[in-house]
Amino acid sequence: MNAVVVDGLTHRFGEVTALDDVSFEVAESEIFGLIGPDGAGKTTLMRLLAGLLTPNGGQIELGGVDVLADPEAAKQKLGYLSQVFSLYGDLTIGENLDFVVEMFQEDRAVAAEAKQRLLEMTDLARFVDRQAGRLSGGMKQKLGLSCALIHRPQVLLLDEPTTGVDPLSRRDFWRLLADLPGQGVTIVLSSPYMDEAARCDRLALIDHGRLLATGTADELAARVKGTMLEVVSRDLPAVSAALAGAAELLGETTFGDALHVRWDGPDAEAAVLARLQAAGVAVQEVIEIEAGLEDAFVELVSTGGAS
Amino acid sequence: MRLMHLLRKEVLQMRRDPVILRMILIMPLAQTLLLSYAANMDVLHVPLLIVDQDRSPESRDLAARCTSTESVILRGYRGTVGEAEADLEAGRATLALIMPSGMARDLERGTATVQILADGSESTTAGVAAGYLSRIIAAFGIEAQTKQALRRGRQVKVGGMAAEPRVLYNPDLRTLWFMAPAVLALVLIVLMQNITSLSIARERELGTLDQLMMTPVRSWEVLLAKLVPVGVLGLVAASVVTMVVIHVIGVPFRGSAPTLMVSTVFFLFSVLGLGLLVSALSQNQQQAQLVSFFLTFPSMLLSGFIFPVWNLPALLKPFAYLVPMTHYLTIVRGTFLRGAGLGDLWVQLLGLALLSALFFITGAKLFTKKPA
Amino acid sequence: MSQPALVVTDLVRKFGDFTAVDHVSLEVQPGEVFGFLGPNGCGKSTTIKMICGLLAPTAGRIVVDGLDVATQAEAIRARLGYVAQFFNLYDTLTVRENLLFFGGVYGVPAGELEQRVDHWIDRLDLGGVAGQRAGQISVGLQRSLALAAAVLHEPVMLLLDEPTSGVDPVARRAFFEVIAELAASGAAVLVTTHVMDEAERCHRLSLMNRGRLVTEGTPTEIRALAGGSIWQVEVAPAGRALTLAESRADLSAVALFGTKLQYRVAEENGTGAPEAVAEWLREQGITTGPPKPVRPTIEHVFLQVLRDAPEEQP
Repeated sequence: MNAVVVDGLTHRFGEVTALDDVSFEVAESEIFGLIGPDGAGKTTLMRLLAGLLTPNGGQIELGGVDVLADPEAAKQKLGYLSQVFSLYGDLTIGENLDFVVEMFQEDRAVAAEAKQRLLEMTDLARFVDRQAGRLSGGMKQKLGLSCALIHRPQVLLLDEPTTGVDPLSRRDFWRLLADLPGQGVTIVLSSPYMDEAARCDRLALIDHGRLLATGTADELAARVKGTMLEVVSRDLPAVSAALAGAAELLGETTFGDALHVRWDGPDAEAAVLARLQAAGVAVQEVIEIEAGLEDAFVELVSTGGAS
Repeated sequence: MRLMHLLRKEVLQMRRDPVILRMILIMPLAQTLLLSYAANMDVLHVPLLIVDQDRSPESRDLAARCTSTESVILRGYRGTVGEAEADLEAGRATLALIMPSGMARDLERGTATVQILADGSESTTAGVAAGYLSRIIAAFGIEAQTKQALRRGRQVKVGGMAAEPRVLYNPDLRTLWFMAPAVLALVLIVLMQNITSLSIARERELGTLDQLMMTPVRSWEVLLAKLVPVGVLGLVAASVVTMVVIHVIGVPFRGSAPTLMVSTVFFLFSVLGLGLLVSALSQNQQQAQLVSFFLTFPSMLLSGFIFPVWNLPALLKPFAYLVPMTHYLTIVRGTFLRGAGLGDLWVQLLGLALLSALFFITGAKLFTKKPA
Repeated sequence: MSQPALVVTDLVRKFGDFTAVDHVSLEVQPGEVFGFLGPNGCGKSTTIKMICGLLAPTAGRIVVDGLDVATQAEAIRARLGYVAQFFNLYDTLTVRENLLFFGGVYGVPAGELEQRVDHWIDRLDLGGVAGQRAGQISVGLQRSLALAAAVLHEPVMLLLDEPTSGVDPVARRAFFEVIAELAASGAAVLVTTHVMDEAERCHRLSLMNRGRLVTEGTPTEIRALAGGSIWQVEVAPAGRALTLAESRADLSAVALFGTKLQYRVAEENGTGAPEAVAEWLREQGITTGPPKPVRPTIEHVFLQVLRDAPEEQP
């Protein structure tokens, strides 16, 4: 059974169509990522799923419950972690958790057990009496996650959960998420980070309110045209100049001491090397690399998903 | 050059904030009308009882005169002091005039005593009304003695003894006249100090202050740029309020408009300086607003707005002169009611100038240093 | 050789007992994009603020373009451009008004101001929103606006504090193209980040942890610091495979990417080790594909360096 079914979802803010006929399904115990540029409609979609907005059209089903017909029942089934820290900074970790428990009117004994389990899982037990406002970014996220999980939801919605969080804390956070599918929790998250997107089972790419593509990270990366080459040289502007104007050149991106070149032609490595040598540009290395999710993202967004 | 850019930015920002603009123009008007009438201490229709135990032509004459003022309204006659006291106790009246038997006789002999009972729980109204009555009684006594003396062909010196106070400039002691100009000052303080106290705190809260201080601007330029537009609006608001005070409330304006204008500029500078100082020292808008709010209390209590400065405890008096409102009140009341000119008010103007400089320079020095 | 754009020597900043920046020294040359990496709270932003003159150092020396921050702060400000971690331009002013204002206070000559503002509006694709209030444009555009405001006066040294936090890859790419151009035209750029693909775009990197600089080098040099080799293998069921891999003391950098399990094998374990791990997983009942080598990223090195550091404090 699908944990999330979105069908023909449309939402407008005044004249602006924030979401335009979006449909997708998320299987149970899947980690599903929504990626897209700023203003693509990711947060709107998350808020619609969370029942915080009412769509202009379309259907949303969470855990078999029609969100629009029975929003209260849907709330019990979902946990939501918003983009901005939205817990009480002047309450302690424990008090924040207790507050959520009270709001969901959970059974106290069950809730106490869940609280203890989450505190141990997130390693926050040591800091239970610390005020939430005085935690580091990574720990705030863990607390937010705990609050979203304490009523044992079937679907967890995470809106850019690790924006501004450093890689170390991000890795910890993802380690926590990795255990949830095994417990039957389905995760839908949005992220601007491609390395994070790569951790999802499946992705949906959204731009201008439209769904451009869905698939695994590999499937999306495979849609990138041409061959990706990394050219390492001390004189990157000269490399750029030598390649400029070539019909096979699909794009280039500067990476500090290297240039990533996307080349649409046979025997790309040799062709590029020959062209550079002909121009008298000294290079240390030209190697083929795998196109990443980021390349796919950039290409799909710039072509409107047509590639 | 840089200052022009800063000014332009402040003006643009202010234009984008319709609430502030409306506040600056409408709030002073509403406040002035409200406060002027609410703070009006004129007393009308205080319920009065009369106990006439003398029953003489004189006592009837006095009773008639006492009830002819609008300050009191006659609730009725009572036979005994006890009955009057009971009514006062029950709140049915606030004042009682007791004329003991033998009053007329005593008056003829030289001194007569009447008694006024007042409900102390209504001390202000009762006090003011009792004051009115005392003046009527005193006048009556002198008049009666004079009449008698003349009737008997004796000479009595009365003129020098006249107890009636002559009230200058505001002969009817209309508190409205006294209050309305002061309300002008209060409204300016509350509004201007609040707006400026938010200004820097807001930039600090939003983080724009960091970005601004990363540019080569100097702190005094930032302060001045924030002060000028608000000051200009303050001057507009002050003019509007002044017009209302003169033409709607009907307070006579005896001084010169330029004098009031110049003084208002000085006053605004000091108030805005204080607002900026508060803002410079606050971490966020909430803190700034709270401090600014509490700073309006000394402006009301120490400045002579309610209690005269000469009436303050000696310990507090020096502080009164640190409050810009103290100086400005003297100026406003002086120009409105007394027609005082710059020549009479230079001490106050100097006071305002010194306070402005103090606040502004301290603000400029402190605001780059973040509160820890 | 031209004079360095920035020289920081033995910089220290204490907050009470806490040493936020501990004897940091670094140099940035004109034309160089210098990346400053480190976890939250490692002292990156504190260092930037001291270079900006927004915070006084406890000890140490900062020289920008030959001028000492301690004595010539005003002169230095005109040579610095600063993009803060959070959007801090005026949200009620339009994009254009913000640029005219900042150009103006930075002392861009009145005759050139309009022209430079137009140039940057055009270069950073802000034309469509030039008349909109800065508070109402998207995060990505706000970042572009902040960058434009910081470069109008052609600073010698550009300081970027996590400039693309929360920005999507398309906008991030465009942003870094502009930064590369600025560097190419001679500006020195210091950028703090913890987004690793940004780090890859710097000429030189410095990794900071707990107030100290831990390591420094070009991205290629930093990547070379990764010990052992990193491998990736398709697994099912993924969750159980992750738990199993984590239970092995000889594996590090264990992480799950969808259905792919990543792990690092230490060099001394020999060349057969990666396959041995997959074999072992199969014995435990996990379905696996063949392990494939993964090119180490700066993030791998970053996590490796930090792994041994004392645990995170709240």
